[in-house]
Amino acid sequence: MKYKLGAVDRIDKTSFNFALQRAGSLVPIVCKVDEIFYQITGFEIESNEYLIVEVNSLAAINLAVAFYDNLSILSLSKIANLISVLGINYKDVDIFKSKNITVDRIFNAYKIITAYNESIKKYLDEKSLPNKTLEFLSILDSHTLDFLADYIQQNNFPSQQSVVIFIDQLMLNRDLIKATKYTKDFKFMDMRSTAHKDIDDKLVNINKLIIPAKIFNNDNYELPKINLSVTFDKQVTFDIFLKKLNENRDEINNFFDKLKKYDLY
Amino acid sequence: MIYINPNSFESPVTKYVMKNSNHIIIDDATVINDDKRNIVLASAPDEFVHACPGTKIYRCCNYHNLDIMQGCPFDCSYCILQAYLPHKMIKVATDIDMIKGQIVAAAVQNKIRLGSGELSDSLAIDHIVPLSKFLIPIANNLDNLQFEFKTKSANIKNLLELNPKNILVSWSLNPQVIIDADEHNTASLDKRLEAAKTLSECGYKIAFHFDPLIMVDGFRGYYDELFDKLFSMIDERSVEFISISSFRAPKELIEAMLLRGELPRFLHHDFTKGLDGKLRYFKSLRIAILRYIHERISREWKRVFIYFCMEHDTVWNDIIGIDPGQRAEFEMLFPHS
Repeated sequence: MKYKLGAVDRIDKTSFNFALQRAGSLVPIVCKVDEIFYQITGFEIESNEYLIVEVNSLAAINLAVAFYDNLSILSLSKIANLISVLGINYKDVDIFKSKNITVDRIFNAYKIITAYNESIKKYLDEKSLPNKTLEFLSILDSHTLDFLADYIQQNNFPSQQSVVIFIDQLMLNRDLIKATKYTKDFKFMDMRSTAHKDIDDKLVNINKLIIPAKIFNNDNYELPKINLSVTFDKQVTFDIFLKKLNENRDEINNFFDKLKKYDLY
Repeated sequence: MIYINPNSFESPVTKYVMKNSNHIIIDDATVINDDKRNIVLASAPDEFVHACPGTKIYRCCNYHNLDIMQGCPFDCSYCILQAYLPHKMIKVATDIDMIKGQIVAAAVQNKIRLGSGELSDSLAIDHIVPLSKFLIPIANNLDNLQFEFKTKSANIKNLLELNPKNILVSWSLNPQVIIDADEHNTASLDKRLEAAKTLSECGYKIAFHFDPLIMVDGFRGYYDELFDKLFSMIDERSVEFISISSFRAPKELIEAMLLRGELPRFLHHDFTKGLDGKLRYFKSLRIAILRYIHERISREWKRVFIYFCMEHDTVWNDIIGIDPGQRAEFEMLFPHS
């Protein structure tokens, strides 16, 4: 790798400026690739002097990326677009290997992110999402992406887990929300069957009656049983528990009958 | 297109294909376009005979798979191969001698039910790569063995010229409305039933898999139409068994289905996570459809052995009042055992 200090007349200052965070170096570094000078660090530094490194385009990418601790998904998307312009195969780029971006469909899912609307891009510049979720995003139409953008905006940048679940639901319901605009009270269609709803409702009602105890089935009713959970922090709670359980034994027995009615017990 | 790896030149399967089909010789399969229309023949020594993975939680019938072919030209929206296989092309292992040795070893002591329909459709490309011509003679020399060709095709021409002795051919059945929506490129229901009738008349044992059952609006009506055809075309005496099971899918399959251009509409239903982590219909619904199909068949065909594939003992007990037990115990219920 050849390098020297010097001035440069014409520098491309935008192509490698792919991250919000600043890549620190004492002197801005410029990579000379095929007679073009690309600044790769020190974008915030006013300087007439640059450390000029003569490398090929792949080495320039790998070098530029090495100045960052962690790049956002949006930054990776910008890099994906940059390497396409430079004619580099993503499989040769270290940062993509390290992020498990090893097949075309995942790489393409990254590449398209720069075309998303601003609130999704902003989210992906601040928070991370799994590659599979990004792949899901890549096949959603513009209306569904707008729907997601509104969800992100109106819910103040929800947690990653919430967004992953929301996108899973979007994927499943994408045909059903075609004419819908997202509002905060929006709910995805309840897919539960009548039997399922009936059982869940009954359970909610019983649990209101037997506080501090709670009954539930923790395997989606695959096994014919109910679990009982209660915590006694005071002796009096134990007495209340016994009393309420006794008062509501018919309700609980009725619940077993309901399970039986639906072949679950 | 058919691609042939030179490492398979000595195989009788390869020799047959080279003689009868246009092909390209290629050393490196990674350069081939990964497409369901591409078939690759190569020697790929491996352990080809496997017990069905099953789970300890749901009842497994101790079936064994012969993984000689991986990939399928059909494009069923719910196909598990979308999650199991890292490729779409069809890879055929040409190591017939090794495969024969492994089948013989598996069948030497115990009765075994073995089939080639787990990682592929057993007959979909049999007109191009006629594995039936090589596997049937092997199976017919092993009286402990019942070899199953499981298919959604009507591709039975080769079988008409072969001895049906230890062979069973089975069809996965669904109403035509589900075939149209979700079983792309497969034979129609009528064609499957006609093929089954033809082979049964040639002395083949036949079987049917109502798997996966798929809940759609009008479920009972559609399946009733199917049964009317089945019962009118097929003689019960030729039917060795019938399996019934509803759609179930690991997370990876659901992801693959969501990524399909056209979303399979039947996913809009009441699914919950089962004890094995796979998504299944809410148990109450599941029992209702399994019971319906079981009753519908057993009302008409009183002799045929019907079983539930990968279901919980509580489901068995609820519908027919028995627990088949696990693996070897379950397998004893089959007519072949």
